[in-house]
Amino acid sequence: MTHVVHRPHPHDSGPLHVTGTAPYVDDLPTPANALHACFGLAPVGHATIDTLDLSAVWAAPGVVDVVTAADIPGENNAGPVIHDEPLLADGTILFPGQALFCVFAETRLAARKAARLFTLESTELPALTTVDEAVEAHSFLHGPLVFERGDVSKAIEDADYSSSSRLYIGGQEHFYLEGQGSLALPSADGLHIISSTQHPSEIQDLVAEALNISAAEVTVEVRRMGGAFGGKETQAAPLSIIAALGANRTGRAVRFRLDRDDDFVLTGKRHDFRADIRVGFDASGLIKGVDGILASRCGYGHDLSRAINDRAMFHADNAYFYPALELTSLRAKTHTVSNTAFRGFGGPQGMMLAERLVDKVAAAVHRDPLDVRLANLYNETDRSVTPYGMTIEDNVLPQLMPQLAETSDYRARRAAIIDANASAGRSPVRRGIALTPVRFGISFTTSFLNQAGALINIYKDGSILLNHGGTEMGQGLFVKVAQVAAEVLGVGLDDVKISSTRTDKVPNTSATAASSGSDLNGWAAKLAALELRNRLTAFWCAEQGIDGGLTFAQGRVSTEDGQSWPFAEVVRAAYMGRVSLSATGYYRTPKIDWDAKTGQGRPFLYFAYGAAVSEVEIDTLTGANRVIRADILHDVGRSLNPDIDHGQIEGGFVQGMGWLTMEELVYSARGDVLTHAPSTYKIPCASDRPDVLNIDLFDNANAEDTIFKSKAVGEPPLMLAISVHSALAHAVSSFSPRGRWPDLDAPATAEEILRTIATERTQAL
Amino acid sequence: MSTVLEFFLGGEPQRVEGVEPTTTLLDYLRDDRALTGTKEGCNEGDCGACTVLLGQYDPLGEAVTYRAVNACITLLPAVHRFWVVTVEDLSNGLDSLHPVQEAMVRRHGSQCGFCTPGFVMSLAAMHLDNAPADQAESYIAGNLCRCTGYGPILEAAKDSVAAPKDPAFAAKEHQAVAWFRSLSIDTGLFYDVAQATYDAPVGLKALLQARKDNPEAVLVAGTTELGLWLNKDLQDFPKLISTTRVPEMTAVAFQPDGTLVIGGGATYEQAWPLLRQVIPEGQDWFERFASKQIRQQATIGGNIVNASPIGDGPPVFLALNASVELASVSGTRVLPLSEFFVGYKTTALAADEILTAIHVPPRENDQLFAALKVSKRKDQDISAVMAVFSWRLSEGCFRDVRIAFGGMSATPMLAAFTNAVLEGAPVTEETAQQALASLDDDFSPIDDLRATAWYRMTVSQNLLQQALAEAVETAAEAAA
Ligand SMILES: Cc1cc2nc3c(=O)[nH]c(=O)nc-3n(C[C@@H](O)[C@@H](O)[C@H](O)COP(=O)(O)OP(=O)(O)OC[C@H]3O[C@@H](n4cnc5c(N)ncnc54)[C@H](O)[C@@H]3O)c2cc1C
Ligand code: FES
Ligand code: FES
Repeated sequence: MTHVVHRPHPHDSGPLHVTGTAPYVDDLPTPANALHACFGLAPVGHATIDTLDLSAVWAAPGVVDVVTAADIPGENNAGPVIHDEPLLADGTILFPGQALFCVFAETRLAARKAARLFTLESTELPALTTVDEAVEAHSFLHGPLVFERGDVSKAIEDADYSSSSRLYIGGQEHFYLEGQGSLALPSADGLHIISSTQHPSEIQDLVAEALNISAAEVTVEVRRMGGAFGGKETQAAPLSIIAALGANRTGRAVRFRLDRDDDFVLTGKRHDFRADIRVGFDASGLIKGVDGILASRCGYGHDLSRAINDRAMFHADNAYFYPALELTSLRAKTHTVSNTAFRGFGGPQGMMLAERLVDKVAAAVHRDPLDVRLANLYNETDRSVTPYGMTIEDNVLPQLMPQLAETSDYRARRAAIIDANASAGRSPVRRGIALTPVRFGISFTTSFLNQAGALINIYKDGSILLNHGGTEMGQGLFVKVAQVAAEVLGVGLDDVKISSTRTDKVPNTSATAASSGSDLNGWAAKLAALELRNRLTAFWCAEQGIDGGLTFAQGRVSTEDGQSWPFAEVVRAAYMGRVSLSATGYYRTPKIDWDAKTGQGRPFLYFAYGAAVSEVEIDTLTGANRVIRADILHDVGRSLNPDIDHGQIEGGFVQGMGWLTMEELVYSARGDVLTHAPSTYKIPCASDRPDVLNIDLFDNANAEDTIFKSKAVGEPPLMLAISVHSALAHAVSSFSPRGRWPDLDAPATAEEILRTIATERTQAL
Repeated sequence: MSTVLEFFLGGEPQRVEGVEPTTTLLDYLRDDRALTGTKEGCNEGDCGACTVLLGQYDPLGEAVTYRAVNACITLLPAVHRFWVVTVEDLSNGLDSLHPVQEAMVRRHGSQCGFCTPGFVMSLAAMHLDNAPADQAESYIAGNLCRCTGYGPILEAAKDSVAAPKDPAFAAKEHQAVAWFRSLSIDTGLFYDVAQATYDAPVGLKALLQARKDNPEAVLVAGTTELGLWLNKDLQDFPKLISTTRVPEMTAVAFQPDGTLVIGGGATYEQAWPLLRQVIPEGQDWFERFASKQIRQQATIGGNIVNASPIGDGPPVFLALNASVELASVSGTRVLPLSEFFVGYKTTALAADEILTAIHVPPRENDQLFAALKVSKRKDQDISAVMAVFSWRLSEGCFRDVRIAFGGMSATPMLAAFTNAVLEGAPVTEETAQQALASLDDDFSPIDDLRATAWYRMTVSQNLLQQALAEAVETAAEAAA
């Protein structure tokens, strides 16, 4: 029996959050002479820089220093994998809004004002902005990835039916409530950087490279972020590097926080995709072959685009077996901001392809899409191998989906909706419903990243300090890992002190990303705690002459025959007995191996599953829409903390809803992000939440040896919102001729819905 | 006249000199006072992370009333003689949380926690207002959360409205009341720092004189527009004149003939209780105008003078046949609103004039009214199209037709051709068809980031068609 894990515990910072006493980077007290930084942003798109006159910037009140690319002693780079993302433009402007230079001034306002005083002469170069333009021009970051199985042309030709379509899937701005921010503090021992980042170790490396110093001279720390969602995995680096540069040059602390509008313009977003699909199927809706191209807008640089597009491919089947397929992934290089990680990491876009495809098939064979979904699921016998050669061993969807259909009363509600739409008459209201599944692979697909470290110190008074490589962005990682340590050491959760993530405590960490935070760091902490427990056990058994083991629970150390001592007493004795009370834990994920060259292997340790039923309503006069009810059944394994997981599911679902409905990024012809503020880019607000939202956890221990049999939860729930998009298409389909499924793109804004209705009406004529 | 800013903050009276008048309340709290509980999420009034309460004492009712505002677009001099309540004031340390805070913790209302202080303040306002639980969405429409999906926050709202008044907070209110009572009578504010001034006189005459004497000065009211020019365009405003301390400017009252006179400095929230009596059908329009925080700052006068083609107020007042009262030291004139808008963001307001009131004529009993807002998001969004329909059906004909649109042209505008087609025409399907066709003559909307021209026109036609179809049905029923 467990005492601390598998139980609800509130977020460790809850009371601090509600009182405004939880400090974020910009809340920290700084030396009185701290400088403030601000980028000067390119007012043009793709162009060569002829002259950049900064004299007025230098002359502006309060300005202390101004840096351009030439002032960077080491590498002018913020690119994480491929070093193709200049910190400051060097000769060429690669996208509108690119940073040209940086000002350091006495106040933030002085820096912001000065940063606008430059004069730029430039020569405009041709710009590719959209996926369509880039694909047409064969502008790609690198070669395509192709998944092939069988003879797809033949499979589709031989099939009873086939269908082709194109789907555009929009990008998404993270809109973490706390914008990017960093603080660089110089000292005789090196630089101390406090950043709002998911990836402190990478910032440490990039700072060292840019400043030509060693990584050991740079410490990066993060206590908490005000949201990240992937947007602070690589995108936090430029601020920290520049702040470090300023601190190095001036010997003064540098505070750097982006204004929200600059944040929108400068930082990458979720990739937008174009999916072309051809599918062959039989009269029952069984898929015979899928031929598709997934093309994405990566922007001007690599960032994480390779892995993101790989993951789109890994999930382009979602839960379904494609007997034959040819799927090509194109990574379009454009003159726009470099797109980046965002919760789901390409997976959601891949899944959109799969779900659109089954909806098309179901419409064509006149069946309930749920039946077509169930018929095409992976099974454990002849339909269990993915296009990349991994055998699925833990599929629970054949049980989970019918269970959700039952509890949500899906079938009766669908029948009622179809009737109501048919008899709607002059009423402008139509409804739609859909049940869609999620199967999301857990592990970094870049295999070497699947490692983590933890450090646990027990002090003489029995108190415990926990440190690990994971970062807290609101997801509840810290409380979960603390639960693990408390469980193993048999103490209360309050006895484990949580501390900030620091590269000088646990080195060489991976980003907190890919939903892997508690899987990796939980295990590392468990190993560290086990090591300490073993040392204490060995010492105490020897000391007391105990045969057999000890149990650690509820703050006490006990023998099988009922003798027991307070934990703190055993600890103090161990100290006196010269036992080391500090231990590191190191974990690496077993079993995984993925070969990007052959496109084959086991990229994931396991899969997280879930499904959602969404019911929507659209107003056919304006296209306005809302989600009336959603029912979710989600598999988090044996939950480490059911309340935290519940919060991740709800938050992920609503964020996914926003992506697929109202969050529309609009670009100018030369690639400026026009929707660069919350006044024009709309994320869901409270009234957009479904009127009814039922969330249940699916009872299912992880088949793999994960931390206390739990499953990752950060990303998968976002994709449950695909049910909303499918339900909207269902509502629109009430205008379609029989057998047709509308080509509703994402985001399904009011305008997109109205436009699609107009198309369907003409199709019906 | 005071030359020093006086307000109550952190349990103590404050007297501030030397802080520039264009400093926002948010920057003052965070940078000057290290009160970092209040967050900056956008610096433009859209996210609510900076929400604080402004407490004001009503000596007649002997009570403090509170309004939640966005500190990021509130200028520091605007809090003169207010109690500024920040998240730091709600609790006495971590062990004695305010009921709202306690509910937020219990319900898992915070994940990353960055939006949380703002939500806590909006919920505290709701708690202090004794608002019913079903108003929670309205109270937090101006607060964005990217983590939680809002469910836990709505639950916390429900829990906390049921909670009794917090004794610890009541004690602080008590201190504030003592301070309010100690204030001498308001004789206006003239706040002057390093050649930048903020002039907030208390009399209308003084206001008009200041306007005349300082042609280069910029007039401010709720600063929900000006805040963005300051924070985003980084404009300098060396001279500001505020309308907010002039009682005549904020008055809202019916005249004996039934005309509603809304002071040119009245906020949307101040005007609504009486305006609602004229247009109860406008409830949805009102609630979807920005957020509660903004509505408690934004003035109708500012919304009209701003003359934005996508403002939500102007089409409504055009359809209501409202007039604007424009005053200067040399006199007052009243102009039909339709003549006030002369071009893209330009108006008939003379350099020395101030919009002192909006006159809304009494409404006919049988006058139909509908104000339909179309935007990407339901709450706190700017319209793609704002369609307002007003007419009477009399003896089978359309009468007093005033259809107005926002988002369809360079200024908010009456649909002149369409109105002419309908005026006096029989309420029939044919008339409706003609009217719909004439919308094309009235408007050629543009493509922008909110909507395409196609969408704007299509939605306008759809909404008008639906309204006319209902009219035809009503007329047919009346005839039968
Ligand atoms: C987050 C946010 C959401 C918003 N949502 C909406 C919305 O949904 N719909 C909508 O229509 N608008 C919306 N707005 C804009 C709206 O708040 C403003 O138009 C507001 O009504 C302006 O009033 P104010 O008192 O704040 O003006 P201020 O910013 O104080 O002044 C604006 C301008 O009006 C002038 N002015 C003000 N009062 C007078 C007067 N009495 N006489 C002469 N000139 C005057 C000033 O000189 C200045 O040029 C929103 C704004 C924000 C920040
Ligand atoms: S900071 Fe976003 S509303 Fe003020
Ligand atoms: S808790 Fe993170 S934005 Fe609300």
